[in-house]
Amino acid sequence: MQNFISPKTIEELCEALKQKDKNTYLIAGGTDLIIHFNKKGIFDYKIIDLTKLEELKEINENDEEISIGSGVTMKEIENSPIINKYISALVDSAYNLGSQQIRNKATIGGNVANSSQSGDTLPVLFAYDANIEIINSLGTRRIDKIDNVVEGLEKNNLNYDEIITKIIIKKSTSKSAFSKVGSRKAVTISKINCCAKINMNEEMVIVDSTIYLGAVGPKPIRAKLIEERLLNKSINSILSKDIQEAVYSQIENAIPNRSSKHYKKAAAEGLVEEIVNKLRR
Amino acid sequence: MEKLKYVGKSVIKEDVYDKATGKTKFICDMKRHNMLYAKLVLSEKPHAEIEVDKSEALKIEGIEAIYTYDDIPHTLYNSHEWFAGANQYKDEYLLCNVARFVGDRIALVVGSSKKAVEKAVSKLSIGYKELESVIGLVQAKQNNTFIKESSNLAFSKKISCGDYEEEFKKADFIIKDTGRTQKVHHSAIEPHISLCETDEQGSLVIWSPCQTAFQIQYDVARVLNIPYNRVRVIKAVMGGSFGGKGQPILEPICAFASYTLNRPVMLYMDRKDAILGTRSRNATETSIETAITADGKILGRKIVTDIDGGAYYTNAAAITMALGKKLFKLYDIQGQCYEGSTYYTNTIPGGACRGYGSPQAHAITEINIDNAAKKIGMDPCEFRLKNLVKEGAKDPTGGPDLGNAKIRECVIKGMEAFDWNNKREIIKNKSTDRYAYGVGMACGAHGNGYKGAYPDFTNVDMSIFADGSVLVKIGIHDQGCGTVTTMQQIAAESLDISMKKVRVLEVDTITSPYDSAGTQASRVTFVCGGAVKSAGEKLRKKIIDIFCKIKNCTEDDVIAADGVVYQKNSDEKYTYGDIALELETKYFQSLSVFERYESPANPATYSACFAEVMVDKYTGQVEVTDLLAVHDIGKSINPQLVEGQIQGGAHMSLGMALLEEIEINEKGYVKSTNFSKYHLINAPQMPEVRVMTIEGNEPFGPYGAKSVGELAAVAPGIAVINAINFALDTNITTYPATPEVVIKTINNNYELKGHN
Repeated sequence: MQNFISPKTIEELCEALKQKDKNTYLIAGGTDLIIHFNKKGIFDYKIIDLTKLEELKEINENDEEISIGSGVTMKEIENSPIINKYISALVDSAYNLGSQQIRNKATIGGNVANSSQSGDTLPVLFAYDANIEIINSLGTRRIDKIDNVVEGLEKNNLNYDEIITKIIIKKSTSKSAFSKVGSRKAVTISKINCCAKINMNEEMVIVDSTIYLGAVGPKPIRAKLIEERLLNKSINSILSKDIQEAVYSQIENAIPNRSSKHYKKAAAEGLVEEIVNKLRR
Repeated sequence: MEKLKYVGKSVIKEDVYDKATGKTKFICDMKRHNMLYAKLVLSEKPHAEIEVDKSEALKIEGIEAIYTYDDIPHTLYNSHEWFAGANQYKDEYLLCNVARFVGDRIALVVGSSKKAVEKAVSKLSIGYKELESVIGLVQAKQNNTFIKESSNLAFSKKISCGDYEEEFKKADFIIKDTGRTQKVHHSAIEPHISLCETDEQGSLVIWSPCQTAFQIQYDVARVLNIPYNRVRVIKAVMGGSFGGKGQPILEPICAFASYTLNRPVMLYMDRKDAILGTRSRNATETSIETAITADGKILGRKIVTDIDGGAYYTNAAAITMALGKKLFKLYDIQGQCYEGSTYYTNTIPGGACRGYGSPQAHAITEINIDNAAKKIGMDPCEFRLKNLVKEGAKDPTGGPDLGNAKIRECVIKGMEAFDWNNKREIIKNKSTDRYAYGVGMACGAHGNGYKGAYPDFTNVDMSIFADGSVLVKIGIHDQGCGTVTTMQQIAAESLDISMKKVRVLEVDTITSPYDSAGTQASRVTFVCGGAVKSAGEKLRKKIIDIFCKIKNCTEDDVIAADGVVYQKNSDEKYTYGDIALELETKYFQSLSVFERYESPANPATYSACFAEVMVDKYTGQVEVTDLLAVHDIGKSINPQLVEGQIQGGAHMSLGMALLEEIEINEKGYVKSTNFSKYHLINAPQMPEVRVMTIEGNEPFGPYGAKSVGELAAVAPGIAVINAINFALDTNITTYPATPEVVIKTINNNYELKGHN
């Protein structure tokens, strides 16, 4: 194959994927890939450029679901009225990812495929149990759960001739929020991040909650202990000290042997408090 | 003093427009005919014998040469040595056969393109025979493993005044603290780079974004064994240095490659190379004991500082001395003793870093001062005011006089502007379960050059041409601080001519008159500015003298101002250019002076900083919500540039206090090799820095000016640490106070109190 192919249609993409070998890389935002090249000293490579595929840039909704093209950038997520309306945690996570320059280029598909343990959109997609649409070189599409696709530590379950085309999320009336802690306030890699998705009744009592913590394992983990602690509580009456024990146990269970656990316990407490505050919005 | 026309004005630097629009050409933008690219291969092991197999790498298309230890001249040098008389211990080769730290120079790969070079670097086969390594001061001091010869101690020195032991006997309280500071990367946005070629006469030409062109000339000439006058070093446009580009690290090996191949060679680095393969701020561990009376007088102090010098000698002596000397400039203490020792370790060697020991020295002592005040229930500002040096004080160790020291005024005016007394009293009331609030302050001291330690002089060649334009040749290096503009202002002021007429050149060793010490040590405004002022005054005097000769009148009848000279009550005006022409035509002379200027003094310069913080007790993150820096500057030559220096210095200081560290694990491997892991304070986290200058005129400084750029990086971060300690009621003495350190301290504190 040529060193650089820039397909404009799915057919052209499939053709390109057919020729893909282990020296061929897919580029969307390039915010991880270029660093990977530099780090690993990779000089002779072939590229399939995904940025000219209009289909991958669409955000659509129907009655049941929202579908986000894998080539949608963080900036576009931030600005999307649909996502703002239904998945506020995803907006939070996109807004807090990297720098403005990175957000202008980085794509949601890339964040999923890269499967970094600190990936910021991942806990949100896990909390929403997102479906990932994948296409292969024959043009066959399959749908898989985010939990299967992301294996963590920069590994995913995609075949060598597959790419992510869409992220599909079921519409719901759930409220959600995302927060992260890094070394700095902004432009920072998550030391720990978290997404909570909850449903409340008319009295603002939490009747259902899904919480995922990121960067405390190879991929986001479900924080059942914290979920249980929030259940049947009014969002306005939750105090930080009520959830502290659950948060600490959750971190202890996740990373019992890591020296960073002491810090992450305290930080997670702050994170959950911030998320509860956001859920009160 | 007469009203100043140019000095004291916020003149905009000429180069800012090009820099802001990206028009400026840095070395990496330069291209020379037939130019090659080069990259250093840096050791991946902390201590190992090296064997390099070049064969595979040499097969890469476009590779011209690969140099290793076997190919280079085996002349040892010390990259810190700035002139032959400095007599520093020499222990570095251009390329090593025994790597002494992760980042040591193993090989140089030279090729026709960056891609070829990078490829060859990845194909180079390096055999490491690992040796036992020494990491950190504790291990270095154990002296079980040696990096070289029979001791890891590189240099030690005791500096003292009075009899501290006697003073300790009289004390009511002795306050003890220990603390550590970290290795810091300078983080100049332009990584290190050098470009060398050979000119038509077979002489070397070196472009470098450097601070010390004459030092490069000396080191290159010595190591390559070619005459000084065959080495021309041109200071290139620089994208920041902060001390990091002070030592010639790239230039000698780049010059060697270029000279050997007889082709232009550009040696470039990326961020990882710049962090690993250059220099860092020396890490330190300090223990301090301060003896005070119950009413708040400091009687005596003993300070023991161990310094991590890294794998080569470089600045071992200089950092030990510089750090110690600053401790005697700030407080009036009868008996004080400093013991400084620099040790070899298998880590990045030490070098200049904005403040040269001052940030490290004050980092721990200024926390200790707060603790002393706390011990007797006295406000820390009040305690300092009882002990700070006064105007005209002498250096108790016999160093140069401290000059017009206005530190007390800094503290007093700062307290007022910060609303210190009120804030200190009520700020903690704001605290919640999650957030703790506090205010803190710290003082700092620094110098103005080398006088008292090493030769400190410069020469200025100043001429006026027939069109009235002025050319000033002086060996300065503008690091982006506006040194050229500052010199232009001083030249314009002393000549009394429009700044637009004045051109000031940066150093080019073949055309600039010699300068003894480079653009470092906070000496440029004070020493080089003094030289320019003196040259300008002499040249103006010459203009008046010639005019008197032509007109047959006396000096008191003559006015020389705004570039013209004339007799009072006369309409016949000569421009300075007319005088130059007359002088040439009638007296066969040029209108110029060559000024040899030796620094007349080395006064101290001071600052007091005040900080307000909000500490997140859950995440450990610290937000600096207010920062005021008050500087005893003598006189601002250019107030806006001064403000910029103080704000930039605060940024570095806050980074040192809260985030920045070259993290080296116990085996000697570096974790933070990029800005994703080496965290600088970024814009969202940077507070607005309020700047206040105390302009009391330093008698020996040009128009009263003294230094600011280095001192600016000393006190702000310490004020923040003191504010955190006040907010949390802790005693953090570990730099940087990262979120992890803050949380750990809170937890320990909680446990301690729980047991009581």
